[in-house]
Amino acid sequence: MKTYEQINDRIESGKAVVLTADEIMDYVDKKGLKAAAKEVDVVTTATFGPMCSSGCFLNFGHSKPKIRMSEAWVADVLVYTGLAAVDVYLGCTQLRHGDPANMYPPGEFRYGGGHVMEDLVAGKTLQLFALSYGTDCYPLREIRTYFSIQDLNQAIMVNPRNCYQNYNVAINRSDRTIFTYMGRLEPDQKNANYCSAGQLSPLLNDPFYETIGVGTRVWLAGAHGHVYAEGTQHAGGGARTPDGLPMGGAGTLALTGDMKQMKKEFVRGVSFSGYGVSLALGNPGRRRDDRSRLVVFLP
Amino acid sequence: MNDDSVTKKLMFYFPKCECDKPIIYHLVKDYHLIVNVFRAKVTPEEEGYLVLDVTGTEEAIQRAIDFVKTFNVTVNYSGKGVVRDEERCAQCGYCVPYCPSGALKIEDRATRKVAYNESECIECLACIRICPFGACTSAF
Ligand code: SF4
Ligand code: SF4
Repeated sequence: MKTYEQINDRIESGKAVVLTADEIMDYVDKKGLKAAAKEVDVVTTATFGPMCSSGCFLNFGHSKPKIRMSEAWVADVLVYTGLAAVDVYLGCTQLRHGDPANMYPPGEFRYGGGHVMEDLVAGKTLQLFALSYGTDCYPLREIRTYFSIQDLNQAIMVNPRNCYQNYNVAINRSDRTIFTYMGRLEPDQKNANYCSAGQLSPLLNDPFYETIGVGTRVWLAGAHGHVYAEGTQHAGGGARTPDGLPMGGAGTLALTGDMKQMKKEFVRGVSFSGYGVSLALGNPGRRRDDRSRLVVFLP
Repeated sequence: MNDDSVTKKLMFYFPKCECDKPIIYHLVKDYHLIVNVFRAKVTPEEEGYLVLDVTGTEEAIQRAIDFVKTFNVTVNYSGKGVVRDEERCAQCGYCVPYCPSGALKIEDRATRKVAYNESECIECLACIRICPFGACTSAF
């Protein structure tokens, strides 16, 4: 058995043997569990998929004269302004203003908060439009300006419900097509949609949260991030298989990371016809050169 | 058809549609090609697009293409009426059960990579509506 110190030393000195959770399966099959545990120092896990609770806090800095934004839109997507003067919160499932939604079902939902986040990370120039009621200290009542992520003081991603430990497969036993957050489901169980990173998944590889918890450093969409709390709807106490695998959704993680450091290939707006918009988010655990610290230590 | 006949998927683009000319008729009648049209469109600006399979000898197909080119037509040999942006595709696999021709399919069961073979695409456009990442688009 290795200690954290020994493993961290090997990481620092560049000697650590790092495999993805995908690769370790084959490795154990070939070499056996004992030898693999001895040789391999770090196993990285990863997810990529729609994370509907994704959002971000943006700080714009002050205009001259100053404004205390009370309503605001980024690229015509409504953002929340019930915060300090020029902080806003942008949520990934917010639709663009004027989107016909499901008025002519199934709607296309072409652009929303998730796409704004993708455009931000990609460095695109976006419009901010904000209104205010005006105060003695913040007299400006309206602003329309253009910015990119470099112009912001902070762009901090928050995901209060990420990395679901396990998840249902969705099927449709009715006789009509339905449009859901698990995608389009055809009648009579003609298709089945699921969302899990399977053997790569972080919490399936750590069923009892022994190595991943509050404070764990993660590689979030290419940036350094953290687990800052248990995720919303975290319910680790439910039914388990004899091996300890949860039979329901079970655990979730609340993650945060600096959006300015993220890579655009891992931050992607998605549109589910008939349902809405979201953000697909990942970390590059599949890469061989990955040095992710989201680790599962072997016994 | 001869044994040496081949099938090619082609896309024709007519900058100014010569809609009054029976081009397909000539492909069949004069060049003895078997023609299977997947999709055709004339825009309000009178541009024309046509995606089709032609079956015949290499030589007959070449002569037919030379004939078509006399109408100021751009011929796209890879027949890409439906394009997949490889960078936008997230390999999610959602489109696979919707693709009736098998042009989009899981290529490798281990990596679950989704391959797109455009020569098998029958231009039904199902993937364009279904792809959550906006990876599939139509050239017209
Ligand atoms: S649905 Fe779109 S992103 Fe997913 S595999 Fe198909 S083309 Fe790629
Ligand atoms: S247009 Fe239709 S046939 Fe072509 S790739 Fe898309 S789903 Fe398949």
